Amino acid sequence: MRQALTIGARDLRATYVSAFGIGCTAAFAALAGVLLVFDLRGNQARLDLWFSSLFVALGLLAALLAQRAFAEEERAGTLELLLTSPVRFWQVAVGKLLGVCGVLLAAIAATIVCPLLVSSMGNPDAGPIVTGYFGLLLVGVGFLSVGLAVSAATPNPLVAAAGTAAVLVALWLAGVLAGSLGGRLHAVLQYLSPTSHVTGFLRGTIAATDVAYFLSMTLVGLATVVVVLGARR
Amino acid sequence: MSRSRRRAVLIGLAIVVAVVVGNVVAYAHNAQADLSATHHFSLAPQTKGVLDQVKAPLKVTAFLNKAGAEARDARFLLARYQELNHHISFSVIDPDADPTAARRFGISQYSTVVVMYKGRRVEAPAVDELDVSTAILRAVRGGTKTVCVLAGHGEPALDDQTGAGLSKVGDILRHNAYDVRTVDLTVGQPAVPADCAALFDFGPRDPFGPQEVQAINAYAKAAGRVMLVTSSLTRADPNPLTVPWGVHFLGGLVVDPQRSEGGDPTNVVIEDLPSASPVVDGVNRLQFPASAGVAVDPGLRDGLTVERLAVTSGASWVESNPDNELQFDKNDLPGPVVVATASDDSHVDTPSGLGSAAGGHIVRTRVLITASDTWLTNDFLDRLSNRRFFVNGLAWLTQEEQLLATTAQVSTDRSLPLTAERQARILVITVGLVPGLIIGAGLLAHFGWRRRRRRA
Amino acid sequence: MTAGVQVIGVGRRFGSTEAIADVTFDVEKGEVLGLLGPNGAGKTTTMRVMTGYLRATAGRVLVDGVDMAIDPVGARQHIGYMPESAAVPREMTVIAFLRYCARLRRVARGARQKSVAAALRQAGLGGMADAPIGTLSKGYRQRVALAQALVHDPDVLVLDEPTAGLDPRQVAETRDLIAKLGRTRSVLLSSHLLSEVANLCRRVVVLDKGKVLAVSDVATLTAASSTRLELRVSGDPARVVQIVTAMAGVQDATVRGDVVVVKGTGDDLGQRVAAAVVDAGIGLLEQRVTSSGTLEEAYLNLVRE
Repeated sequence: MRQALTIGARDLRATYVSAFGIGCTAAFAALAGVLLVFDLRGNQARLDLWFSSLFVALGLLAALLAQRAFAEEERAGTLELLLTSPVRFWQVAVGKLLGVCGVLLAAIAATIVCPLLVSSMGNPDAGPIVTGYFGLLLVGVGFLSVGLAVSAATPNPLVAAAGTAAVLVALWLAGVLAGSLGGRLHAVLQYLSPTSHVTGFLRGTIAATDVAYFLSMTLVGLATVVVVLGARR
Repeated sequence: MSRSRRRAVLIGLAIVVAVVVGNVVAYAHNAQADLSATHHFSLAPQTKGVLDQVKAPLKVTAFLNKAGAEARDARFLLARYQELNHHISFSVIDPDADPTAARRFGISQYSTVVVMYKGRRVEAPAVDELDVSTAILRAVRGGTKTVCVLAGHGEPALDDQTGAGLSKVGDILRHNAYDVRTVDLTVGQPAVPADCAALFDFGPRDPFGPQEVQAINAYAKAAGRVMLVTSSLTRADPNPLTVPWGVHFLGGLVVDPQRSEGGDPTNVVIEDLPSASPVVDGVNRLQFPASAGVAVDPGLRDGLTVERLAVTSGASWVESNPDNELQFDKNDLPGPVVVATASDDSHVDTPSGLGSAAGGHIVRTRVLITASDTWLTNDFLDRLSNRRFFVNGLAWLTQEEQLLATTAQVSTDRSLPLTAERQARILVITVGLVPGLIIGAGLLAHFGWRRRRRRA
Repeated sequence: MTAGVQVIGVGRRFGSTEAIADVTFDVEKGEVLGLLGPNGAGKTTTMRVMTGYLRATAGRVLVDGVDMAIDPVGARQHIGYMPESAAVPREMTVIAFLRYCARLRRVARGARQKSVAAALRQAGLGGMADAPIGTLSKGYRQRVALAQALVHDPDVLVLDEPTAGLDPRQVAETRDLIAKLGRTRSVLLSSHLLSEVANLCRRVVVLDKGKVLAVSDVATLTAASSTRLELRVSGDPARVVQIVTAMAGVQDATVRGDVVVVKGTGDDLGQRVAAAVVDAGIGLLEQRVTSSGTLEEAYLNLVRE
């Protein structure tokens, strides 16, 4: 695990030394602010719409962050050094995830000012805010894992970003398709869609199914990274 | 296959199994933690009981203004119903955006819920747990039952919303999908309608006539369900109605200096609930002000059982002269005192009425008696476990277990008018200040790096 | 001598293309082994398989007795690898990068500072520790790449073009370093500078089209390679060509201007050619040996065949 932390710390530092990390965090914070103004138009001190918009924005952020993890590093030539070091692929996968999660955490933390502002102006229910942030972290980590898996499979950062977005859209489409089907297939497809697993966080609840879903997404993403790294050899 | 490859395949399989099992278990249990202030989206156990009865596809359609917070809350709430029973599906339709659908459902008002189940349609006036669950219950039940409430003896009204009124009891009956019919046996030929699923008498003050007593007892004997809520304040003698069911009304006023509320020893708190009857299921304590006492007859006939539901403490007594000082004397009956009973009588009814088993069928009567009537007035129904006690009693009498004892949820004002000033403040801080600080921090770090480079 | 690295029948296929096949050689402890071959011969592929970056589709690699296929992490622990790209992260300082590499390569916390300092010193980066790598010249970045290969004091060094891009002084310093390291480690070195390989390596492996053409001492290889003579004669150069072509050991004789160029093998070639020309009554004005059994010759001969 120590080596995973080493890799993660290095990646995190590299992201923030460059303009990319600062730019992403600042842009996410600004986007959150703009979304807040739109989503408060119901004249209620409620942030469920805002969190709902942020979940979509997380997909974009995940695509942007994950493409640097492997694809960009391969393009720069430094991936060979990493993969010829005495580290196991799962340590590389976890380390890369930790690195991008650090950026995710910073980007999400930069949005804290939004609920604070709403609290200063009104009386929002704190519960959905807590679960909303919990959801953002869980969903973000899940989306990042998907992004890492795609990034590990291609040396082209642009393809990695587009591929991540494509996978997330495909999962979302599963939910849309479920609407026109019935029976077990409907239930399975609906379960596969991330949109059916964020409702709980928006309303102030933390449901075991939603936690299990996003943890599974993370685990499957990491396992895919390990498989892809092994297959590349 | 090499050892390492084999190990990799095994680990992969283990991950797949763990993921599938974890999700299946989570899906099956539907556990959740509700951090919202009102726990709006944690459904009551009674609702879950109702949902357990849904065994076929059930569709809930809520007609709401999509733009409003109410529509989002409706989705949240209905999603929870769906999580607990996957037969349930839902949709939220804006009648203005989709007038065709509204016309198809015959909806003319916002905040209407339509429940469709096995071809049955039930409507509810609002999208909250109580109304939606009631509608589902009625749809699943496939019909409504009628409960009859006696009037004509000074009983408080079910639509009386004052502290002494019974409007809360009326709400419970309505929300549990009962049609409520008022029956006045003092007028015309006294007879309790045969389609009454249960008969209630909430706090009679005036005496019953002999024909009324006969009518009520005849109804009870014919597999009837009666709830007699009387008290020390009654001028009627309930014994003609209670004695056939093994309970003797003692009258008087129960005084319990050890368990009472607000310094008034007649505002009795019941903590002894010795029975295993479902009527006291989930009941911890009761508040029975101005209660008289009852006693269970020692020699009960075959087939009749009487449960002592609520008993006062050993320091209590039945005061025979409440107008004087409340002091135990030799005329008073020492406690513990029984203040609520449940009689369950099974007997064989033959055409000849002789009780012979041959050619007869078993008839079951249930009678619930409480010696206080104040406990279910609007002022007292929500004290301690009074509400639960009433709902349990209702369920026991009508033999329905999934009834809803949830109280109305208090909604907090969360309005936040988004004025131009507030909008500007949000934008300045979130789009200007915060990103600016982040970029500033980045620039500082960058210049520090450049300084280091120059030094190198 | 015990072998630090054993490459046994290693092959690597990319789809239907066999990039390398049946590659076998050892790198002994205390030896610098040269890996030679034209572009596309499979040198980098061989090194990538040895370091575990690529999996061998045939054969095996043993590093200090550890099979790369069975315990890649254990095997890689013994290897310091400097890839051809020598890519190093430009946003990090030299010392931060080396500390990162030390942690990655499991150098114990207590020994890390010393290891990093030693790597800096060995790679000649003494005054550059705090410099961001992105500000360094290519040559210094190359040294950083070399330093990261040394930071965990590995038993085996795999260096792909370690002197590429360095100035002559740096090349000489690096060469000295490699020679010093080679005394106690197993070093595999690939280079296009045959003179460098000849100076540093006692043995070489020659690869072409993914196959090993030779694993041999440099001395043996150069001895088997041809000598090149240039003759200036007073008579007819074509007559000289006729005479020498018939001689044993002569591979080629051509006229270039007024010079006859003779290529052949044998230590006494010069003597025999001179004698043959003189015996034929042709005046021998000058005979020069322009190339006598160099590694370059040997190499070119091998890859041409």
